[in-house]
Amino acid sequence: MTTLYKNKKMLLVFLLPAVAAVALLIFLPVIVNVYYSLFKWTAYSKTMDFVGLRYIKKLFTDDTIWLAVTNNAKYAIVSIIFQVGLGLIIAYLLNSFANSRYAAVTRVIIFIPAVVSLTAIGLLWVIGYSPSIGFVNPLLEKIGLSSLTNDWLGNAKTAMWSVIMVSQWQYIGEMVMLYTVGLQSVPLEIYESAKIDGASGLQTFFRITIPLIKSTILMNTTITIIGAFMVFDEVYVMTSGGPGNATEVLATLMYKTGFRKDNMGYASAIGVLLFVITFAFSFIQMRMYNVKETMKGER
Amino acid sequence: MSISSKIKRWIIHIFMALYIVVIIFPLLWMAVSGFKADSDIFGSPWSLPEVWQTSNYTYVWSAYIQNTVINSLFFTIVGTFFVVLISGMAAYAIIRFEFKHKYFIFMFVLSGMMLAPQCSLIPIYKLLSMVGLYNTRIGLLVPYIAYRIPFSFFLMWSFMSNLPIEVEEAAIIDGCSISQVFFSIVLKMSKPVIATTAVMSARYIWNDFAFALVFTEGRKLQTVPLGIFAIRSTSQTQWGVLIAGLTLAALPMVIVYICLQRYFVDGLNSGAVKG
Repeated sequence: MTTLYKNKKMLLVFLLPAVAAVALLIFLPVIVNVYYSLFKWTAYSKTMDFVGLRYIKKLFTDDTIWLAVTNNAKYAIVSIIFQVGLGLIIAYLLNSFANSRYAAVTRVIIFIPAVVSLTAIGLLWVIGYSPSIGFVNPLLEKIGLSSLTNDWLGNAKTAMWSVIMVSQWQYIGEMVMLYTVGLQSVPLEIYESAKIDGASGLQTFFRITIPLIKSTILMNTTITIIGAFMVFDEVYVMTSGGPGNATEVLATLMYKTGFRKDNMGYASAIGVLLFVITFAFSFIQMRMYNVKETMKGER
Repeated sequence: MSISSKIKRWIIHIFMALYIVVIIFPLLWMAVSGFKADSDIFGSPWSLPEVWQTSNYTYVWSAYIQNTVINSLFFTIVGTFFVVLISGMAAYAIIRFEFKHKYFIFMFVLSGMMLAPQCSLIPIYKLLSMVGLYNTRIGLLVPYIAYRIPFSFFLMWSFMSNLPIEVEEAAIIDGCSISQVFFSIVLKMSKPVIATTAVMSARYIWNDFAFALVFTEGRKLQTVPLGIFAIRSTSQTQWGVLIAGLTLAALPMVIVYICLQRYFVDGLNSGAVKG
């Protein structure tokens, strides 16, 4: 039987499709992307003119790039506050204050937006925010805050924040799910003995829960940051980067530079920047998985 | 229970109730507004429809959604099938076969998770055009499958690592080949992780917007997300039609999720909170 598991032909049949797909469609494009960023080219041009590091250098002097990075950073910060922070609080409340049936149903409901496409959710909020047919402004009027009514996505001052809030609305439920397993792995006895020692709810939360699920919190923070720098769908669907370029993020800028302005070389350079940022955080995240030990432990 | 802790409890319950309303309301608003006439949508965004009319739903279905649903179903079903098959085979090879550089290959496939598809839109677009696969079924299907492999491989590997080898050994002694063992024993024992992998990849492919936007054009291969996006750009005034379209686009995944919650939750957790 050992000979069967040493059969090189079968090994190739089983392993090659996955390895080839990852190599050709995930790793190769990253390398090709760097190469493409060294040339001036368009989607239909037959030739490519070598320009060296011109586009890469341009990244550092282009104000729009800076604006996009700032918007991605806003996305990351707000997402950390709402998804990592508020998500933890909600998961904690559901875990410790609600009866388990009620908590389970709540978790199911708040996760629903996360299974719907960003496109549908984005368009739903385009309508919701709309000054003519939306439900946001009428709600503000009803609760006596008519002074706040606004063309949320059409106003350059509020557009970015309005888009960011849609992502929070959509994904807090997913974060709650991610926290729940971590929270449920904390032994109940620890909470009980804390209660006997007279610890208040807040003390228990800060002194016991947070330290015990620190690794989950860190992991969720990196996932959130990576997500915030990758955003494309929701911004493209809701504002296409506008009004002006108020809501431009790196991915929309890359898409528009490549496919609207047909400046593929510079778009590739933006892709390289996007790669460097997301890869750095992904690398940190992979280190947290501790795959090496998992593999050894389970084998 | 003391009065102050009772009050605290009530505050928490009210907060949670409000939060649930904030999540549910826009979704209900969407489903209900799809039944309104356009005049009704403009006049009173917060009220129920004056007349419940189904014309928005039937119109958006036949004019925009029907054709895109077929495309989306194709990519989701065929893509998910290959994701499960290819990832499962690779996971099995890593677990059972004996060969050199196993750890390197394992890490190589897994590292694919670190590379975001958004960064590679342009090179993949160019590669697809060069080999003549731009705007073809295969050209969109293959990137979908490839980008789901690392995560699915990880999911299936962690499950299959715990399968007892004895069953397989007995089958081999009885004269089964490796493929027979894999298809009729290993995959059968892996049903839960197959379900988890399948729902995670179906969610990703069904909801994708960026790949479909960049790797296809025109209506032939249009998927549901692109189809509803197109409604917005073509019909400035038909808001009721758009809203009905959004509801129809959202519904299938919500139903799948409600029916198969357990697998969604498993998939999320094994992906993120490992170790």
